[in-house]
Amino acid sequence: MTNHALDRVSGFIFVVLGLGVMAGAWAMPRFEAQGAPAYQSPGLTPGILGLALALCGLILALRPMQADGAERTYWTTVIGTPANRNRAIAALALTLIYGAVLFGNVPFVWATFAFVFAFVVTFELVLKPEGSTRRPVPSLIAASSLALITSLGSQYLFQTLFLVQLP
Amino acid sequence: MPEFSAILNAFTTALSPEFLLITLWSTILGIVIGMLPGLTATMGLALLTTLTFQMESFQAITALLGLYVGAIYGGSRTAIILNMPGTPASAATSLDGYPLARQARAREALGLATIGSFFGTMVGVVLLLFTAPILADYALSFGSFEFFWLALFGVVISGRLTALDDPLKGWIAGCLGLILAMVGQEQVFAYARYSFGIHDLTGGFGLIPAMVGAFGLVEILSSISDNRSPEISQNKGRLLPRASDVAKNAGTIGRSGIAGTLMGLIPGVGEDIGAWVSYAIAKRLSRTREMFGRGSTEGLVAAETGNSAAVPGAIIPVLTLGIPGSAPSAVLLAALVIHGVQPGPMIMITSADMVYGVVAAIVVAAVIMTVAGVLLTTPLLAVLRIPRERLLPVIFVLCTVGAFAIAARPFDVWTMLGFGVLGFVLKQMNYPMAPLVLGLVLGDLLDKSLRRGMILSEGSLEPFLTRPISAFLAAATFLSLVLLLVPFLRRLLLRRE
Repeated sequence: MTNHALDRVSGFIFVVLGLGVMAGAWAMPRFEAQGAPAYQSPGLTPGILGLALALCGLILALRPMQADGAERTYWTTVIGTPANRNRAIAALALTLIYGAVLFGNVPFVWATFAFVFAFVVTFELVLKPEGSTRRPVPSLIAASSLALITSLGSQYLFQTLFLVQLP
Repeated sequence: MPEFSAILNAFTTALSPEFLLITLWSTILGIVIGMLPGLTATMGLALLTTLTFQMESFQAITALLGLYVGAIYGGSRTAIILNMPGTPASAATSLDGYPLARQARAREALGLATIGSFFGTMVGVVLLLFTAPILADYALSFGSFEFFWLALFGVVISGRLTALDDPLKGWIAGCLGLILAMVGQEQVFAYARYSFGIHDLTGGFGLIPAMVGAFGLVEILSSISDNRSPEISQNKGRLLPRASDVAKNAGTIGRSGIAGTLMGLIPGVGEDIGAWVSYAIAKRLSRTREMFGRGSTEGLVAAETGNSAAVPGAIIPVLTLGIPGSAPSAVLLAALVIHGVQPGPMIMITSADMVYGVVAAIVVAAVIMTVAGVLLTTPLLAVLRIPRERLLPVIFVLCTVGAFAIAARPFDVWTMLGFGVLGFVLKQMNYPMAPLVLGLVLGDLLDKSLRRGMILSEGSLEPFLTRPISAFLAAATFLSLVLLLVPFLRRLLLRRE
């Protein structure tokens, strides 16, 4: 997909989103029974913003191809390169598992230790960068040490110094 | 006119060993807090307010001011080194600071940012000292009509500046941010908009978690996705800029200092808008406009001078009107009240010493910030040498805990993750993040000002367009939008012909 085609698709997505926001704004109560005029309605500002987003999306979708449209795509750097794509998916998976699943459900120190260890091992040994010469044993030692220091250190910093009760 | 003897007394106190030590540790702590993603000046000030509760009032205020000055400056370190603004105020700094670091000019960028911050603070302090009452009166004359345009103008400017090749995408990102800010209870009827019955959504999206996601997680994902090892900057050369470099930027420093202070003193606007407006002015007047966003030293100095100048600027309405100029200064206002100081128009009569003491404390903090900033630059640059596979998980842990720490609710962590994933996808399609976050910051102000303005004018739009400042901001906003539509319509017409 070219840049222009991608812009066209995203433009139409924003048109739909903008119209959805407008519909949501229209459906909001207007508190007329309490004597409120239309300009006090909670849906006024979101309605205008929805309209603005839909208009911007329409311009984006309908505008003529720009000189630099060419055949390349915005995605090439990450999605178009298998090695980069795998690293992006792994990073997304690790961060989402830590933030949305482990954090709050598993004791903080254990969750953080597991995340940091898995992150370092994944990106230093499994999906290693181009030209990396890292050996497994030093990497595993470094990953364990970093995980230990980060989990205990961040707990001390936030819980003891900043008085934040961690999960 | 300020009393010379009172100013001298204030500086004598501020330079005493006891106060010097307080300013030293609080400023360095501020720099560290400002640097850490997820820890902001507001959060640091709030935490320090509780920790300094037992201290003598002026000692506590001195510590808070040191942390405030240090944190706004500290944000620039991460903005330059890692493209992650440590505080919202340094978002504009990353536009040119990070490209400079990628061009092996990190030391130069850090040095220029330090000098810019120092002079910015100094310009702000001079304005605080000499023109506080006048400027505070001026800020008081702003009403809902002006705030509406100011909020809209901020998003339009941000959209235009952060998407130089395609401002339309900047404005789409800004619209998205403003729409996301509409989620949660509105202020007139306490109606929970777009909450779909989900309890956490009634409070809306937290600004800091969204900011950490949009800037921190996006950068982590983008950086680790690249299979090639990043280029380590060649950090050779001078750290402290030559006098000629400073002189070359003297005009930018002066203009940005004044613009930053003015933005700071406008209630609710604060350091980030101070930086954006200073950046916009510098770009508009620059001879090398095309370099902005690609490593312009002028842009970097403008942003850093602007946000640092906004610190004293934001304190002006706090002291003289009892109205905060920014989020961190709102905490400062609360701390002043806790410590028995009553800010307001009477402060020059009842507590003039406090005003001069604040001036002296900010000046000393700025000097310490500059010295500490220079001395800590080399250890900070070591961050670039740490393999990203080891640095990024630690940063993500700080992002997660930082997002959680604000209100101790897991929803803020999900907000951070959501904004991070959304931002990553948008970034892949060349949509800038800053207008999205700015929209989220200003959405509430925009909504509140529009509806209050309409109530005041009984539904008439006239005051929005006829009051002098409103008219000026409206014209600037429309001009910026029309300048985009003209080439679009021209291309459309040419294609039809």
